[in-house]
Amino acid sequence: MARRAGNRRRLWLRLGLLVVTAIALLTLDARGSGGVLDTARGAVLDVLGPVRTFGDWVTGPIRDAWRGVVSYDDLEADNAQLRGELAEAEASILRVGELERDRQELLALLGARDTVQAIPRITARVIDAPLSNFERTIELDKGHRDGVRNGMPVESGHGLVGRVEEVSANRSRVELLTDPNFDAGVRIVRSGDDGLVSGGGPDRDLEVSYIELETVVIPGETVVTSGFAGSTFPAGLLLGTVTDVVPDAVRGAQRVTVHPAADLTRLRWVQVLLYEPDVPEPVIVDREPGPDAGGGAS
Amino acid sequence: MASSGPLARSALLLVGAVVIHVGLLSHMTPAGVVIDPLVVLAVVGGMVGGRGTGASFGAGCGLATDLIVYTPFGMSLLVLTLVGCLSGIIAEQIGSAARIARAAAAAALTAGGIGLFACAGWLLDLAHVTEAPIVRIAIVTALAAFVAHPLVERAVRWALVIRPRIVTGREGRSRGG
Repeated sequence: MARRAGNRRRLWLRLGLLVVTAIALLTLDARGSGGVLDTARGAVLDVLGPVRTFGDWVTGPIRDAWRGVVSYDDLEADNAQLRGELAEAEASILRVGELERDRQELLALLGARDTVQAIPRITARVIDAPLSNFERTIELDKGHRDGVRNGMPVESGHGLVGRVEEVSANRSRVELLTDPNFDAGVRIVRSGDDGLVSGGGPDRDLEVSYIELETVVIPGETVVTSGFAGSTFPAGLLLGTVTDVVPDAVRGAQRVTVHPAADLTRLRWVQVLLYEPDVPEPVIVDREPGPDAGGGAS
Repeated sequence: MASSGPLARSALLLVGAVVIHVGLLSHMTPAGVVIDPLVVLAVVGGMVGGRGTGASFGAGCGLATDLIVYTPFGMSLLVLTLVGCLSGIIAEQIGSAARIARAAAAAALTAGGIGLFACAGWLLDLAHVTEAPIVRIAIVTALAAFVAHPLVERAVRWALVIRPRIVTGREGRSRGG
């Protein structure tokens, strides 16, 4: 009887110890002091990197074949849509070329340089294998060794994808712009009004706040990053187009819904912009020695 | 030295499960669901080893999950410790049931484990956890647990150095009626 009670006490002690350890780790992580934990996780994932790549290589053909069988109709529809878009794009190439020439001339006249184009970038492959059903980020096969740093913008051929949230030696993790924690300064191109965009959650549109009630915003307008001083994004990165505008009289602003230009569900290759914002230098006040300074002590 | 056997074997099993997870299961996603073998291992660990061993084994599975998945560090440790312990408690109630009943229980407990993870996500206000298709994830993972149960049970028995209970002829007859 006593032995049984002892066993039970030992069980509760063990369980309590494990639960307390878990809560302590959670607290450390939540307080942002989980540097060691993040380093450990990064190291483990770096070690497992070749296993993931090998698994991708082995299972790739099987997955592709399966997708071909299961989503044949979708692929056909996509193909038809892409053919249509290609024809449309070919028609607009001439128009875009003309506009680009005008833009370059204007930039030359202004003495400005095209900042976004001038930013060096590297191409990275999206590791198409989430390790959990509860992850909200994507992983890239480029890391610290390739020049990737925390906060760098990531874009696909169509528009902004997100920003680098964590970097280890050979891989990096990207916070998608649909993430509820994501925010960035943006500009509505036609009106020139600035606002703050934030993610609305997976597969949902973005929301721009702080757009004044007087500003005329039309669905279909282009939204780009504003590139305020200190922002992690340079000015002019395409974010998406306006889909809905709802005036909010209580807040005295409009709620603008934006559909991302990049298709976040089909990312295979992306570009990391090796952009680091200029940090304002600290102002050093060069004081003149006052009458009570220096020889005042003697 | 006597206890280092199960410990080393369990560590080896966990490493194997992580490699299978990362190298194979993360690439094969039936119905868009990543099957997490560590949840299944925690459940079967509890069912085979009992509540105490289940809690420790579940903690090992949770720690391994925390090291590879970007959810708050410690969340999987907490959830899978409880899953392992609860599996042990429920397995004690079931007793030495038939193989298919054990597999069904493992499937149900795995689904429960996914639900517990979602509850933890809700408590920690993690939108990406609560907004995930929990029911679909639970069903697919539970089905995988049901199918893989015989293999996983054998692997866990090997790791914990627990021999399968041999049912004698008389015991079998009395169970049969």
